[in-house]
Amino acid sequence: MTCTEFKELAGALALDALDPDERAAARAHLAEARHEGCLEALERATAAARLLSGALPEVQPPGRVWRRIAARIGASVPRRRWAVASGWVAAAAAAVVAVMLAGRSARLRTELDASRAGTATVEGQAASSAELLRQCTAQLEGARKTSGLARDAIALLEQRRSRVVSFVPQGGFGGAALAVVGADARRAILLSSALSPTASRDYELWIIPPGKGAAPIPAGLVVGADGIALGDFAPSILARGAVALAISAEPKGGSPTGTPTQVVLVAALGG
Amino acid sequence: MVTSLWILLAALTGVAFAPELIGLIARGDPGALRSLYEAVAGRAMAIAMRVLGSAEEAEEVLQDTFVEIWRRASEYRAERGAPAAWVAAMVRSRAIDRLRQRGRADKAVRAMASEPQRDPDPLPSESAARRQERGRVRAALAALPAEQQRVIELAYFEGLTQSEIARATGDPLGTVKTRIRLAMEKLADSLLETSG
Repeated sequence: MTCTEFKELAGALALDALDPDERAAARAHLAEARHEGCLEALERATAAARLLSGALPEVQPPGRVWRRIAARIGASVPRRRWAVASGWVAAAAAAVVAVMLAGRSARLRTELDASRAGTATVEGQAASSAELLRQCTAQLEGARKTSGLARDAIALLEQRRSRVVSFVPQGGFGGAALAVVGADARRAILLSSALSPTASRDYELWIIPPGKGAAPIPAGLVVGADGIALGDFAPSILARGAVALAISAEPKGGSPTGTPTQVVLVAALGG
Repeated sequence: MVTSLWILLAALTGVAFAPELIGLIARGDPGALRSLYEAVAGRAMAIAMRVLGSAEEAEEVLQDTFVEIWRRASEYRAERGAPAAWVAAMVRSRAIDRLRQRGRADKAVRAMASEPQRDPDPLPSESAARRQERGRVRAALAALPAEQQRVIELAYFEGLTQSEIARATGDPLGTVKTRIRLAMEKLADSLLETSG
């Protein structure tokens, strides 16, 4: 088989539509050392073929499919998928307000217990956990653009004794946010789907140091695209100690005064 | 605990689709596999049902595929495509293997006798991004001449080889080959150009 002949068959090979003898000949050709665009042609055809499944409307498999998979890999089936229930974030934020007003720890587990108790109806209303994830596909490109920070956040989560704190909305702000905080509280990364900078607005990170009446310290701007927002609270400032984290809405470029213009989210660093 | 936190992170940011998720699966995190499953099972089930025409068999293919992913996640290479497309390709391949085990004659007869299958209605919960993607792929297919659409349909969704398509449609094998080649070139031009 020549390179020209192979390239004419690349589309059919990508579709797995070659007859066995032609498929064998094509594979043998691919194993040869020199090519004139064969690999590129196959790669392009394969990429196009893989997108074809996107033409179909999704079909949700019944719950027994996952249960059987879990049984085969030896995993336990979660009792309840609290983490990705649609509407959970907003409900959890409301629950966290109550938790924090009561002066309790902001540890995630406590928050989850509280939110579960108060949001049974939300769970009932959630169409499915897959729905929220599907909505997030629109944000994939934004996540990729900030993937370095996202990777840091995941690495931080994988550290022992790292934790997640939820932000409490201020002044009727409608968004929610979380921060992953390292075990030694010297690194904190903000994650949100509601704080993407716009053409005229930035969101600014603030660290509230210990001490009565201590002024918030600016700690960087939120970065993001297409609905994904991440923020890296300046580690050098965090290392000096912090009792809380805050986010403010600011004119483009950040606070013009050195103090928060409009605080929209606050999270205590309890526990 | 870490798994749960990761899923929470994924829910908020959408990074469930990032290759890091596959990395967690490769390291034996069942929560990560569950997260991937929830993200792509709808699409995987759709392709399995479309190829096999049987919900029961599609479920079995889905189970086998995700168990395989659990065992072979370390073989995933991000540069070859997003995890969702990777999973869809694995599901389709397994479904076609199963279809071919049924017998080629059965397939050809079925393909020739049947009108193109009607797809199910989209789920009410379908996201805007997913709807947009579906529209884009459908538009690319619809832009093909009818005879090229048909050969792609028979090859991709019915799992027929070029010779089987020729037998099923009565067209010369050379014509089928040309149609597939032209159709795939056009699809690559339109889909890859717009997929960024």
